Amino acid sequence: MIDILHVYKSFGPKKILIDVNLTVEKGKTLVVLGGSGTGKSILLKTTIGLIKPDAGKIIIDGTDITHCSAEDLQKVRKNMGYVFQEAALFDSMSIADNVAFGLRQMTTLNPTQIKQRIEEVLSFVGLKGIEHLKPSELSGGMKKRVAIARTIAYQPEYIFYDEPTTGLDPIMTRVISGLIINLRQKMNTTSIVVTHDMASAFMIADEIVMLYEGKIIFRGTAEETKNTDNPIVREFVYGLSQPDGNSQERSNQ
Amino acid sequence: MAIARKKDFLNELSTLWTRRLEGLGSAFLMTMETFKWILRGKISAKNTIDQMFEIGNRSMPIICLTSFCMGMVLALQSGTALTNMFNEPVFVGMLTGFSIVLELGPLITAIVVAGRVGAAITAELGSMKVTEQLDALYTLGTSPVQYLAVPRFIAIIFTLPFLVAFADVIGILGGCLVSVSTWDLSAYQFMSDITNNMGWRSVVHGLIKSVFYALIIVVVACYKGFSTRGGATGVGKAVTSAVMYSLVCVLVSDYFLTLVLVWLKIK
Repeated sequence: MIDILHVYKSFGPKKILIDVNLTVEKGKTLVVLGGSGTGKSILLKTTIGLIKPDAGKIIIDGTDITHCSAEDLQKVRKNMGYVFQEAALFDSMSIADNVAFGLRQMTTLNPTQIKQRIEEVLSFVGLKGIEHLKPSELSGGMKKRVAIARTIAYQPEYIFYDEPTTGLDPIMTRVISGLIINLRQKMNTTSIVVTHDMASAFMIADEIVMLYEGKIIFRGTAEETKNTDNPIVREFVYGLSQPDGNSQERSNQ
Repeated sequence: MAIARKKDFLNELSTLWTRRLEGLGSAFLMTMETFKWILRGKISAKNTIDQMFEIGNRSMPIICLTSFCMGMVLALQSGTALTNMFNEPVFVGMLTGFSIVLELGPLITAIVVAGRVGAAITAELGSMKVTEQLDALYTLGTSPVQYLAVPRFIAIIFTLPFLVAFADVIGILGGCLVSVSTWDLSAYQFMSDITNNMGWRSVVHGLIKSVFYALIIVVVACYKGFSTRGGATGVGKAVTSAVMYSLVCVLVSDYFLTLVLVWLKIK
């Protein structure tokens, strides 16, 4: 279980996260919505320990990762995977080496088992037979699927997705969303997904939260999100401007 | 109005210095972390050997060319000056040899390595930083300092002294060629002028300097790479800044290193 308690984060005078509180139950998928620059990726990176919050706690399976030792953080990280917005594949390595990286660093599998696992996860994401290629030879959608394969290879319990479908065509968006659902069903992973993509959000979410001006302003199921009266959420979900002109004011801000 | 401007200026100045000191502190911490991983023995032999090959093998041709030309110029200049003074080119070998072994061999090698290897390290690490590959390393249970900085650190520190020794030999050969062709000295005369006057301490003097230069180049290159911000432009700025800082630090440290080594009678 992930508990995010009273988390604050600022960069200089700019407040990014203000008293953020969230809980994600085991085996559930939480989708974080929010406009560009509202701090969604910062929230995700803070949760995995890449960024230290100014205040607050992040407790993962009982370990407060904001105040634990580097060794404890490393242990917790073995249970966590992160799919980056731009895939962040190591461009000096082949696809096989990219996928094997986490396995070599965090598991005790022998080379034969690693090779077998690479084939398994690549076929899981529908990319069998590309082991020898370099990341520069892949399309955007393929890179994202390899990034997912690299993350699930060492079977983490928690997976964080940073805009997994941004920049992809609708077919590839469905493929990636389907993969996230498959993973939850087959591996019972707990996930936090940051996205702008409403179709994907409704497809994969057990719960949806909306981050606005650094605060969580809404929390509900996909159905509750569709039927909410919250004007900011409605505006985001349906892309409608508010009759009072607030939308214009907000975009000017 | 004037007071407000003065305050603004002082504020900007203090922010600038705070950033500089923060940078210095971060570079120091990165260096300490590198030593920590080395002392723990967490060194990837394959990565280190690859880096040594990259640094040594690929820098060799350019170091060969620059040190050979440097040796020729030194022999030509010192021969001209000595002929003007004594009507014959006495001590050309000694002057050329000392200049190369004590100063120019290590300096020229460090300048070439800072420009070629240091810049490449900053560009590679900087690109990895802006494309989130360093963050990806963290999430895959690996410290970027251990995986990326440690092999480069060891590779440069062990390779640069060898490159300097090589540059010394090639530079002396260049000087010898000019002495034979221009000043009608025999190769034996030129070489014995060097060996009669130069001891092992002079060679050690140059090699000790090269270790310090290596340390400066790799720390600046790795730190600038790890702290790159802002996409392709940021990578460009980081590379320029890394080369500039490395060269300035190498040249400034040269004086102080010489001072200490002379005081320790390693000369």
